[in-house]
Amino acid sequence: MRLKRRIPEVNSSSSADVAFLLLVFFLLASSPDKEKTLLQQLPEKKETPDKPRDIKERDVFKIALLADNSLIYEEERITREELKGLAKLFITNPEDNMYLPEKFPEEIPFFGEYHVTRNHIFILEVSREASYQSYIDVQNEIIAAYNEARNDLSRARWKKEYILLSPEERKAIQQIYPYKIAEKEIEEEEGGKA
Amino acid sequence: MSRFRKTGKREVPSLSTASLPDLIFTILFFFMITSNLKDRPAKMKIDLPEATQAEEKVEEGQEMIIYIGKGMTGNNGAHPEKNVLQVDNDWVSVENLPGFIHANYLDKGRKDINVTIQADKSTSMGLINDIKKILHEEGIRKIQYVALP
Repeated sequence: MRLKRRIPEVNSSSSADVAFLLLVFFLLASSPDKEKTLLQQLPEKKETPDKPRDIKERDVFKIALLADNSLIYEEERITREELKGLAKLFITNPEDNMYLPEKFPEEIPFFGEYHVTRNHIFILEVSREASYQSYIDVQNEIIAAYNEARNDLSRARWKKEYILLSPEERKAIQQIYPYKIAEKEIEEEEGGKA
Repeated sequence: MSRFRKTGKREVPSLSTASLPDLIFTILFFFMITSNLKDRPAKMKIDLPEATQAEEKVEEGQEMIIYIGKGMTGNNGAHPEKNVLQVDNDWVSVENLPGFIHANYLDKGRKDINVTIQADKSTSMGLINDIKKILHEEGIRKIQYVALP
C-alpha cells in the first residue's frame, strides 16, 4: 500500500518579517536627503599679488558686518531686505546712474549687444566676532539679488524662469550678471584711541 | 466523474505569500543602489544656518567635509579643546589642518578638492576665516556652506 505522504511545508511567513527588518535598517542608515548649500568660489592663489588695478568708487559696493551682527553700508545700518534691494540696483543699474557701476556694451549670445556692469564688485568686510549665521545671511541676500536680476532677465527674454533655461541660455545670463563677491577681514584696532 | 467532488465545503484557496519576501528584497536592492550611505557623519550636534538661496550640493571632485560644532568647547560631543574641528572622520586642530590636507589629499594625488563646511550657526567668523585662509593657501577654491533652505 503506497502511503501518500504529504511533505510538510516550511512555514515561510516569517521571512517577510526578516526582509522588512533589513529594509528598515537600511533606510535608517542611509541619508536620502541631498544637502543644500551656498556655493562660494575663492580667488586664485597667486604667488605675487596682482598689482592693484584702478577701481572706480562707483563700481564698488562695500558692506561691513560688525561684531554685533549689524550690517553697515555707506556708514548707515541697513536691514537684510534693504541690502537685497540695493544690491540688485547695483548689479543692474537700469537707469545708468553715474553713482552706480559703469555699463559697457558687450556681445552676448541671444542678446546681441548688451550693456553690462562689467567692473562691479561687492566687497564684504567681516568682523571676527560676527556670527556665522549673519555671514550666511549677507551672502544669501547678495546671491538672492543676483538670482532675482537673473530671473527678471530670463523672464523678459524667454518668458521662463532662470532654472528652466538651457545651459547655453543660462551661460548668457551668467555673462551679464556674474557673481562677483570679494571678502576682507576687518582689522580690529589695537587698544583704544587716545 | 467520481474523481471530481463538486459537493461538500469549498474553501477559497488561501493566498500564497511565499513571494512577498522576494518583493521586499527587490525594494531593498533598489534602495541600496540608489542611495548613498553616510560615510562621514558628524560626531556632534550642529544647528545649521538658514539660507533661502541654498541649492543642491555640488558633488564634484574629492569632497572634504569640515564639521564645526556648537561652541567647540565640549558641548554636544564636540572636542573638549577649542578650535578643534572634525574633518572627514578625524579631529583636527586648526594648526594641523594644512598637514591634514597634505597627508590625506594632496600627497595622495587627490587634487580637485571640493570643501563642504557644516558649521553651527553660532560659530564666530574668526574661526571660519582662519579655515578659509588655510584652504586658500592650499590652492582650494571651491567651498560650499551647508544651510537649511
